[in-house]
Amino acid sequence: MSAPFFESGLLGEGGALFIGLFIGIGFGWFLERSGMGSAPKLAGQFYLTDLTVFKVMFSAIVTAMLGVFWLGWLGVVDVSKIYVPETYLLPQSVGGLLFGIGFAMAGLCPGTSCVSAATGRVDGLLVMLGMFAGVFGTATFFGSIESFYNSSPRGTLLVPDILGISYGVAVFGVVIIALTGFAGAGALERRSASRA
Amino acid sequence: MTKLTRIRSHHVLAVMALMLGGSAAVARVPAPRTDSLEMATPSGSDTRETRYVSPVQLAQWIRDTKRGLRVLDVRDPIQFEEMHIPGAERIDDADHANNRFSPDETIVVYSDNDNEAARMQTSLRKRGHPQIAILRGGLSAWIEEILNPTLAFNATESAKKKFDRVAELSRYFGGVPRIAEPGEASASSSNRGAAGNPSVTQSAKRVRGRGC
Repeated sequence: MSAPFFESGLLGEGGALFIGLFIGIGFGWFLERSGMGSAPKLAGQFYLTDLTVFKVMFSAIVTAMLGVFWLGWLGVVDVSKIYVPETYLLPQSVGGLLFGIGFAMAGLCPGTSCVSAATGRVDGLLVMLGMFAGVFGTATFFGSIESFYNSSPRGTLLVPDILGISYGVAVFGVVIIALTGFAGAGALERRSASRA
Repeated sequence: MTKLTRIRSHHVLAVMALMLGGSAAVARVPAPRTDSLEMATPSGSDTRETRYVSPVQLAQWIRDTKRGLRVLDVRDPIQFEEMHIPGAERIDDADHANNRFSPDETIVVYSDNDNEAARMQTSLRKRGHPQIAILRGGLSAWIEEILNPTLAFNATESAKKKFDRVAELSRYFGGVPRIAEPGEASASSSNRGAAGNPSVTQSAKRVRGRGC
């Protein structure tokens, strides 16, 4: 039997939720240990003074991407069973813009707001409450925005398909982009620090 | 301080990532599948794996009158009467105890969502029945991909070719394949063919709810 375990039948709904609890705890722990419970640190991402968010998140992406690829090569993971969300160009672009504005204003995103609240920060708690208010409002008025929500569908898009390259070449490309980005982020932070 | 002592752990990790990424460029691993026409058939011996078939694959099997194909609907009788996949038989926990399945038969189970179908699949396997596949996305996916397939107006050439194959299948089942107008909502939000079937909208909501 190969992963993903829920799709493979090894885990039922209850088991998947139980595992999700531990994954969530682990995710929150890593976020807190990397300092992402602090709004000033997160806001520094947007002012290019502290690029910890970029470095932590992108390194996690690269780790997961390489892990999935090589576990797929070994046959431990059936890559074809991994769920890939569909692309809805316009609503996701608008949603991303709103997310960015909110992130820059609050200095926290949904996940880090939970981390911040868990460490006793009031601003984290308030952002969490705002997040749930937004979720509740969207659900309540979903009928009004449903047509926009489902507009501009593009199906399941993958970088290899769009660029006409193989899966492995796309993986290598992302690694190169990440390493270049890490070097650039370090240079930006050093320049910001020297100006301060 | 020598150059060697200046090497930090992140340098080592960067080199490892570079090596793994570079090897990936020449390794052969199937990409995550998006073309449901090419759904792979699983190995025949491991009955514990969950098999999935796409709506397009199932539609091809039905159209081609695949020998031994049986499609099982696990929803309630009223839902079944309102709409079901052509040729499907309704089955519930009480029924399947008396059903006989031949090892030569290909069983496809569907419901409004994959979890309900997976429960029936598990239940049938525990009774020693042969490999059973789940229709990925359930009836909602059938309605969306077979009865109401929609091609984005600015689709790529490869997407158009795939859509032509799906459109042929769709017409066979009385579906209405179409090309979306710029800015038009997708078929999942449309009432065409689905007659406002709430399971289609719920399916879209469930899927879009995944992620951060």
